[in-house]
Amino acid sequence: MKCSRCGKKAVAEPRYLDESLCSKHFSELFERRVKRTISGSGMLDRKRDKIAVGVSGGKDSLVLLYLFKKFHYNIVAVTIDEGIKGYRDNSLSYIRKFCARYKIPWKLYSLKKEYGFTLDSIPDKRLMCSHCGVLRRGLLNKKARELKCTKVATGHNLDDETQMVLMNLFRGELERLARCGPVTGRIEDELFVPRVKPLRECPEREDVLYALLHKIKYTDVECPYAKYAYRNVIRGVLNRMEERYPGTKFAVLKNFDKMLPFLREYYAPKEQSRRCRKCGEMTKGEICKFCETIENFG
Amino acid sequence: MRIAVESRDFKKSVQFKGKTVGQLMRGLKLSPENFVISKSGGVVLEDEILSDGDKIRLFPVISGG
Repeated sequence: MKCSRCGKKAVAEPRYLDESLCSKHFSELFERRVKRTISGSGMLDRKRDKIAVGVSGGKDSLVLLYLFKKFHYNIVAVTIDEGIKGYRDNSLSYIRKFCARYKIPWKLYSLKKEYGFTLDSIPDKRLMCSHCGVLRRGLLNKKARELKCTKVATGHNLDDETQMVLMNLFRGELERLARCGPVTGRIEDELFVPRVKPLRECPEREDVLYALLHKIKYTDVECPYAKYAYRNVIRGVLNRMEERYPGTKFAVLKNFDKMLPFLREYYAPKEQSRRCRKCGEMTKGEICKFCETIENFG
Repeated sequence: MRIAVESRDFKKSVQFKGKTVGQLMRGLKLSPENFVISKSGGVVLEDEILSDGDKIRLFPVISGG
């Protein structure tokens, strides 16, 4: 198959576009899309922002780091080691090599060192993704602040974002949905570092392709706890819809973005966030979710 | 012809009577939607013609957490 734009050998055939693309034209499309996501939502200011990039060693976060480097942003890679044997330990060498190759500063923090426990030690595996999310987000926010970063960036892709929209809709978690979007959170608080998702319009498949075309070596090991996630069911539903009706994922994201201002207005915080009596971080109640999780399992 | 196929979860050599990568994938009961496919280090699409001794590597779309 030939590239619809130049006639060279095609490497991508996005069904939602109805054209085939060579390596050069696919990369241009991909990078233009990321730039548009960044500028469209005003999520980053290249001159003023120092960005803590959450890096797992997978395709999404390493592609994001690569693009930030290419676009000349001020970045520091931050990895949270939750202590998942055979998964996180495997990914660290990929991050180390990548950051050395592109001369990107890298900070590694572990739950074990900071709090004396690992995710593997949690006995009930069913809600693992939820616990992991609370701990990773909490520690990433804290460390980003210590590093004097003004934004936290994560490699969430189009598939992640549309799964998140449907998961929250199906569970009736509209207030949680109001906190999502290109710039996460609705908290005006000096302790909160806003989180941004520059890859949210990039299909997961295209992150893999971009990584391969640009010789970005990443770990493709799956988290052993992923099989317990509700997300897997939603992923299957969305993938079947996308296969039958190409463009479904883009439509879900586009319409979510249209709804977001209304959701944020409806669920605007009625009171300022409080301080956790254990750690001093933001909370709605007496103690924050992070401390609650540590108390339960630490 | 004989084709070497490697992925995250398996590595095997298969006897193949078809012509294209798409036919190979269907023969292996794998959906091309779930993988980015490379031949001799270069990304290829389903219509790529295979020859005896080719090495195919499958990169799963879904990985990570």
